[in-house]
Amino acid sequence: MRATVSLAHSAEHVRRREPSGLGALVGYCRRNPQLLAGIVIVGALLLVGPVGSHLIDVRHAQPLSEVPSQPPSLATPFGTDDQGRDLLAVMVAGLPLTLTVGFLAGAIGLCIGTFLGLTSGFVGGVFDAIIRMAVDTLLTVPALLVLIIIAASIKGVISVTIMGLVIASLAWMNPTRTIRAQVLTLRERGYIDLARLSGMSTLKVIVSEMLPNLLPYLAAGFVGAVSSAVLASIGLEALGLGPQNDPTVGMTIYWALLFNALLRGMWWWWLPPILVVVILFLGLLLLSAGLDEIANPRHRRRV
Amino acid sequence: MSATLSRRSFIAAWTGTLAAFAAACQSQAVPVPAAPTSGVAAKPPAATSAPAQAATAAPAPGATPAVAATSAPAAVATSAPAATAAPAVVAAGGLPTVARNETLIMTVSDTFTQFQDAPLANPFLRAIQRNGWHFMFEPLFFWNPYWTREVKWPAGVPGNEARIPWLAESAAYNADSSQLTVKLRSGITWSDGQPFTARDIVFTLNMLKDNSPDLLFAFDMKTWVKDVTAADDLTARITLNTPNPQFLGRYFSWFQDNGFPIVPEHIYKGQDQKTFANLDIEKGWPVATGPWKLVSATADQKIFDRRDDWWGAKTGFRSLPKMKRVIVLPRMEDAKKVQVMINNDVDTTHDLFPANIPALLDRTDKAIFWVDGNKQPYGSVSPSTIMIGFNNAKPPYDDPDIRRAINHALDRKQVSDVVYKGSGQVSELPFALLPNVIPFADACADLLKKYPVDAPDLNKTAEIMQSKGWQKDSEGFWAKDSQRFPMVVLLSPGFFQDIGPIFVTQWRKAGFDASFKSPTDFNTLTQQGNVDVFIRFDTALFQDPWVSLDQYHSRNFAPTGQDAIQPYRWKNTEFDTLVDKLSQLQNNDPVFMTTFQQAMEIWLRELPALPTVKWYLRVPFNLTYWQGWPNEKNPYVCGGGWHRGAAGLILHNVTPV
Repeated sequence: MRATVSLAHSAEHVRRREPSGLGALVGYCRRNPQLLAGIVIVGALLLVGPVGSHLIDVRHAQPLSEVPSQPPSLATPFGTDDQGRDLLAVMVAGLPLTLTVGFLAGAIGLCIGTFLGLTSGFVGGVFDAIIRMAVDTLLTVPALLVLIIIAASIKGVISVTIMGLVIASLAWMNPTRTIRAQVLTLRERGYIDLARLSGMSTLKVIVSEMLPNLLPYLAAGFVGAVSSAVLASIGLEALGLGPQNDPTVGMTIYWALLFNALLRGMWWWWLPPILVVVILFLGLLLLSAGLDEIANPRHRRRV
Repeated sequence: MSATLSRRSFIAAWTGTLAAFAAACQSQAVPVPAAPTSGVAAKPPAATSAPAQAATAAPAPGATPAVAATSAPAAVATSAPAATAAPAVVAAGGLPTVARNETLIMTVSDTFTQFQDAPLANPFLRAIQRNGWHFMFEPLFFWNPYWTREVKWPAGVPGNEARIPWLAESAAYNADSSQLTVKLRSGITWSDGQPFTARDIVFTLNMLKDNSPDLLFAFDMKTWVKDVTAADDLTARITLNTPNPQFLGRYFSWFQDNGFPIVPEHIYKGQDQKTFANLDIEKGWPVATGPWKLVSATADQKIFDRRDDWWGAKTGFRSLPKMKRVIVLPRMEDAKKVQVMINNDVDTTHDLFPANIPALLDRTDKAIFWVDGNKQPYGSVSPSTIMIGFNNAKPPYDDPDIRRAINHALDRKQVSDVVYKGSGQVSELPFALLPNVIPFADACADLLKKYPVDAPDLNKTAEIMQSKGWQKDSEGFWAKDSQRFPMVVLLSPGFFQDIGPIFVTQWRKAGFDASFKSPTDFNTLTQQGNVDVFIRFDTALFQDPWVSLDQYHSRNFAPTGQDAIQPYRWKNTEFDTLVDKLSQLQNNDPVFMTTFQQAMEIWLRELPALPTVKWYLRVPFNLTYWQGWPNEKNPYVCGGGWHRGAAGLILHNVTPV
């Protein structure tokens, strides 16, 4: 009797603590501060471009806009570089470009990875063996080296989109592995067997039964893919293999190195891009840790 | 699992960023062995501590970027695989120790971080770079573009005019400049003891003629040389196809990058001339006449030890150079060049961007530039000019009006102010203003009024473009039939990253959708015509502008897809006739001047290329271990360690501090 009462009481307790929609999200974020912090930081960085371009003239991110080599002042709060770019405008114009490369490469990598992971995990057999071997082999290849060779061989001018595609070519392996592992687990669940027995086609099973349960892993995989893609793009750009005509974060680092900004004490040139990269990665890490909690309820710190 | 992976990559990112930051803060260790004890020269140690100083354009990364992508190990630099090929590239048994103050170290040459031609020492191969053969071999003559009658040569340097006889004693043309007779000095020997004779000259010229156009200078020899004979051991007679009083100056009188060496018949004979590497340390190859022998050649450095049995010391021509060893390192990024100069790890480097020179001068008082007192513009006027070139065979660049419209969009003074902080000067003619060329430049004054070159005027640009049917599209760029005006500007890699983007920005402001690229295969692309616009150094000037104008001769033309000798691909028969006439005249002939003016009128009207700003050779020299470097007060050469016309003489003239 007491057990029943306490069960009913706890059920009600649970029901009352489960509001839906936005309220649920806010409530969840209160319990998962990392996710909240991650959303806030990454969101703020994403807004820098659209909001900033209304406040300052992004055409000043091109050379010959201001007096060159000036330290920060009222007119140019981030100073200027040796070719006359306004470095605040460069940040506002360049951050969205870097994020575009990262998100484009991350999204494409994730899509390919999801497709391959889902099919190879679910279908199994020879197909699975081939995919698994390809992924494991390619993961051992030093990615930056391959990217350097690809980028150096591109005819014509490298644009932001092309950068994203180049990096995407080596960004799909980790998502494939992650998704495939999850699919192998989920495949054995009861509701999957039930769906199959009830006559659902394989495709429908994948899309309507598996995919929703994979969403936390997809989100975490996306964050991971984006962070590696941003890192790879900055690495390539700092080496001079990026979109040289665009003021991305990596290109700012490239110009700062070329013109010896460090030795010449031009801290306003090399410091902001580094800080921006650090903040971006902090945000992505928090986001990823927060999503990890959703995916693995056992990791929940609070209830 | 996903959080763990992200944390790993996050840590990698932090470590990478901090490592990049820390490494960039420290001074870089230069990969120079203080005392190479083993036979193998040092592997690239800078790889792990120089993440961001990697090659800008090398496809194979020379240094290790500390930023790691995903879970991939960072790329590791490797020596060029050819360094371990069959010919010995390092002396067996190791190298003797030589003290730092008896060694001269320079970082010069053409590629960053690693030599691309480590197993080669044949000066005629297209792949060869300027990393040591150019002072191992000696020329028939040296020439100094800065010589004036007031300049006295330093003691011990023979000759009393601009041309210094070195391997040759004298040279003379016949009456109509169709035959050149060269008399050699006696007692010259190759490094293997064989005598250097006129037969080596005969062999070299014939070898080049037979292998045109695959070897450097081969096309030129085929064009000009009819016949070459050795009248005796010390006399060579060269008969030309058409009279050419510039022949000696252009090919056998070394200055800056001009001229080629004579190679030993007894080594080259019987080899496959198109591929002969000429490098084998065990055999003592390359065999040359200069006081140096190559003892180590890897992708990271080339080491030359002094050869005390040099013919010059034996015959009393000149005493041996004062240093026992010369080490040549590959080119470095500007930031690293400044650091190695501050640390006294090297004695001279390639020239610096003007923006970096105050940073160097602030931190060391041992650096010396050409201009006395290390004042602006720091360097000497280079015999090469910076030109913006068009592919004149590719529409729409085949229209001289369009080229003029593009020229009106340039503001050269702004470039000089922004890039050179005011110390640059506008250049309106396709040749450098060396002292003996100024009369020719003055003769163009009226022509420049008629066809002005330095004339920034965006309205004129718009007027011309519109008259040709181009309209500005919604984003303000010139377009026709919804195709934008194609303008990809190629920059010679390693140079022009400071001015290239400025020109591109000026063109964008004028409505051209321009962008720039610095490809590693710049030479191939421009030679084959896969290019719209390019920026490069022109051929260095000699005593008069003929060699500069000759670059635009249509014999240098080839259709797109085939290698052209010069990338301009411009054809103008009237101009050709005038330039041919110039090649046969002496430059003090009044007819030369009038012919020159006629040719310049055509050139300025058509503008197949655009002069930009004067180039100065801002070469830093280090006074810590060596003194007697060339400068304004002592202008015995003009150039840097990578120039064949300068390196050898610099090595002969500097003395220990």
